[in-house]
Amino acid sequence: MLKNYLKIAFRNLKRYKGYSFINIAGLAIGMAVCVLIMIWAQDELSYDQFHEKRDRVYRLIMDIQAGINLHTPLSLTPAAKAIVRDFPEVINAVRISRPSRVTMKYEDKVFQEEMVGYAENSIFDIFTFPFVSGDSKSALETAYSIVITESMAKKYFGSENPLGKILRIDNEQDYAVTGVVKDIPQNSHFTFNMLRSFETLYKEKDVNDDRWLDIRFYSYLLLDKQADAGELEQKLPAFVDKYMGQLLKAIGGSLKFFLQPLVQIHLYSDFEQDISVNGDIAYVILFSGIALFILIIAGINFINLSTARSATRAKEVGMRKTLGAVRSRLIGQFLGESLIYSYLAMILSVVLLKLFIPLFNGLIGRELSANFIQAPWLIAVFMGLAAFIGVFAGSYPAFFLSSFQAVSVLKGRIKAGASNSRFRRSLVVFQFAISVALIIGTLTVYKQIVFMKNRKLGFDKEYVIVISGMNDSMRKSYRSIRNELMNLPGVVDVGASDIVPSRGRLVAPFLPEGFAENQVQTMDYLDVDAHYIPAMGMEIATGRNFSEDFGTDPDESVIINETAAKKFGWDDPVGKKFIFRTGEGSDRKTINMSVIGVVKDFHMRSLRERIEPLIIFYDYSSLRSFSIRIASDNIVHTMSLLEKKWNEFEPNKPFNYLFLDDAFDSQYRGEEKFRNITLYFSLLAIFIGCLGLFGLASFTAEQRTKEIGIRKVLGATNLNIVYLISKEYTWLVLLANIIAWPVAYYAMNRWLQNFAYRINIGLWTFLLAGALAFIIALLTVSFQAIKAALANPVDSLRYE
Amino acid sequence: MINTKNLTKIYTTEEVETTALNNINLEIQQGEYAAIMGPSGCGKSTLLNVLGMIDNPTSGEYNFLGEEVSKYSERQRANLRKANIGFVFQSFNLIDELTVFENIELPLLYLGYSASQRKKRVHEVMEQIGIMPRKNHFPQQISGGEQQRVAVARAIVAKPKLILADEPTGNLDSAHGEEVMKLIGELHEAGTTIFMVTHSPDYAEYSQRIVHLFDGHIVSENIQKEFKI
Repeated sequence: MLKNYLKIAFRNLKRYKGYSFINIAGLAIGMAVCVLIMIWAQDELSYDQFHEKRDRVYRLIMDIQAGINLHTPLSLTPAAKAIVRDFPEVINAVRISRPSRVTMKYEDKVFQEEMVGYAENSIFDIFTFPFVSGDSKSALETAYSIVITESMAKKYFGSENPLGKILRIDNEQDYAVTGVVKDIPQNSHFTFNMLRSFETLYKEKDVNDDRWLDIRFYSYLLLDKQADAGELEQKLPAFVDKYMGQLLKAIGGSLKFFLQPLVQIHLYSDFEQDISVNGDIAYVILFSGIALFILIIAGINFINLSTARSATRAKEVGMRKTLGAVRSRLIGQFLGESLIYSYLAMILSVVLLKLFIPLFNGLIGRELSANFIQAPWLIAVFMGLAAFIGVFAGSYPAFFLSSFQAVSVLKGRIKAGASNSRFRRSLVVFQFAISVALIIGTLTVYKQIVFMKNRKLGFDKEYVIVISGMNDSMRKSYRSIRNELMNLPGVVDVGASDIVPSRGRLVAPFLPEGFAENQVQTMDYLDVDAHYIPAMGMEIATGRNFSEDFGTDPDESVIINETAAKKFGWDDPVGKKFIFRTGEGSDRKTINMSVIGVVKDFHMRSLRERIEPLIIFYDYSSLRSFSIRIASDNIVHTMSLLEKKWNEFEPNKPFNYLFLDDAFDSQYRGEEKFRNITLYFSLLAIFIGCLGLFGLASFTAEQRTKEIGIRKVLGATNLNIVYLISKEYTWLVLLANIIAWPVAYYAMNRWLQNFAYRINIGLWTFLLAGALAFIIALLTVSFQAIKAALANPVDSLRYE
Repeated sequence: MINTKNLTKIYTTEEVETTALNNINLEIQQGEYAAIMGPSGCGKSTLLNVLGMIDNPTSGEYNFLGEEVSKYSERQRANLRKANIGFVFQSFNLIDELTVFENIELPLLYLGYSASQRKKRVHEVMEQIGIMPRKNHFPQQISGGEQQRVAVARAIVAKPKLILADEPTGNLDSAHGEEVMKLIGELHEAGTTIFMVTHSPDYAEYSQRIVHLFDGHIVSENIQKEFKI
């Protein structure tokens, strides 16, 4: 009996190649996308799972309120150590710096090395980073020691023993290699190539355990097996009070610590200053949902084509029933058939998956793989998915087909596909509603990205080269270096600052005139030279810029932005003062700095973030980066001149630069990824939906061959016929729009809330999406309609 | 074998009630060869479908082999049907995706015969009907007469006690029609009960008894030959 079913299934498959192709191709794409997203989601969910003590590790994060609200994954530097001391349930803690780029030198090898950080040795107790050589108990105990990864060891030392080798960093400090760890797994929320000992920072007097208001490091706590993180969190306000109570009171601020479970960091963090770029559980859910929808669209094709073609199977059903088949056996037969389809589709989807993976990796910038030997669970996923889709898509046709009454079929009373066309139509509407919503999503994301890239930032980001890595001697001779740079042909202007737009943020509490001692205002700040503001194309709204001609400017003058002026309620800001207190005890002094100008608001950060009150200082000693505005022509030549000049100033550091516009726009890489993924998803969804529509239209055309013949004999034009066939499905697409619009509007509006500066989703987005879907559907359907219309009427009449 | 009492079948559409069968009282003995005649739409096929248990009567009683089946469930009817009744249709109703052999084999599959039993039995029948050379062809590849012979073969492969034939020659030319009628005659000779719908008085002559149906009523019955019980 099974053989009989298989035969029927395969012969149907061969006989109706078009339908089979639509079904199998659609299901295969759907399954491939689904598994792809599953692999990705699994990877996202696997972050930090490799740490043996993961369930007991928490990151100490905090909320500070002092003028502005700061929700940050960074902690106060002395906090971690004090917590271990005060709470017996906290066994260990580690402080880690955000890894940065340094110049690394070993003998004659010089590289710019990314991801070089600082950490305490307890990192190897708390996290699982297995050692290849060296002692994990002591590797980072002493100052100027460094632990490197295996691939770094290979890069610098080849086959030599790396232990004891000396690496020179930024041409200033020598570090001895004390350990080599395995490369950090991809699915770690933070990564490093090299870690310097935290002890070094004490030696360099950069870290002081008495300085509480120091927010630079990420702190992780290891809890005792019996400890309860919730209980510990309850005790932390008292801890804050003990060490920070007076300080907070003095500045009128508040601070609250939270414990973030290690395994949640990757997907449940939404911090500006995180240790690395994180994922987002919302995207995991969203993409999983979309993948599932694509699979459903393919499943709907299967349901629709099977039921539409029911007439061709009706006779078989009738005959089998007459011969004594009961309904359950027929249901079994048809379910079996759909399982055959879904398993064939599965085989194809494995191939598709292998094709999709590199593309997808390119989109999301990861290295996922579908290796069935490494991940045997994938086989189970595929088998399970095929079984699920076979049953899901097969059960309706199975119940529907098997419900035919033998007598009705044999009497010819089953009109081909007429009985359930309403059901089929609603499924088509559903399919296209998903597609339209995806198009609207893609268009909105696209528009927002264009908006962000084109928005006037308050400075001119084009043709600005940023060269970082200014050292002390360069700071001292800054003016003459600047003059030399200015003399280069192609250089328009040169300025310098500590941080540059899109790269980092400096925040500190300040006391503006008119505010009480305990009403300090947390502000963004920036250190510049006198040329930075004009070189960047920023505009002074009132007052004046810093000037080299005013020798007192560095000590007495500041510039604020419009937002700051507005926030402090200063209608005439020039001349207002900021109050600074320095020194201790008898040395305690009060210094006033006056506002000499107001710069028009500009975006230091991405357009996700609101422009905050900003204070700008004129301070040579803090400068770190040159910002060089160049002419728009002969860029290559100008760059080579700059490189030559740079090598004269700093022979030990490679010439490393970035274009400010690239750097700024790179902040939207996450959005661009999102746009690309939704774009591909919507293309796939539409493609599969159209496959189904094509199948249905060809079915309709076939079924109405006789009708078309009669109409033509009676005088219908080809256009009449095309209209007749097309209208049946195209209005469904219009209906789909009506359903999709509010859903898409709601979803995209929510997405746009992520951006402080955002577009309005205009009506045209909806109209365009609707028109696109409509045109695609019309083209799909009219192909069949035209074919039917052009047929010779005599042929179609003879057909039956 | 068959005994009906006031068998009535009414089709209801939104506006019209059509009485297809009106108080049919009919008895058919084991081994009998009966034909129904009547104009188009008089209810012949409906009667055949009800008797073949692929349609339910609206009211009345239907006794088949001593069992009252008019209130049977689909499952009960299917079981009774597959063991006892073979069908031959005007339009053959062969399954296009199955070969001649596989079409004939189908009833045996539903009766749970083993593969070897099926092969043996199907070959016997094909031999008997004379379509052995066509065994691996698909229905579209053989002539109408051959298709109907396959349909007959399928009807008798499970050795049913009753064969219901609905204008078995309707789609065939006279030569092929003659052939099929001969075949049915032979089956009757071998002891099978035959109940056949036909338009053609000539073919009705093959039977022992002709039932005339008009507007759902039996209007007359004439016995042609002696019963052979």
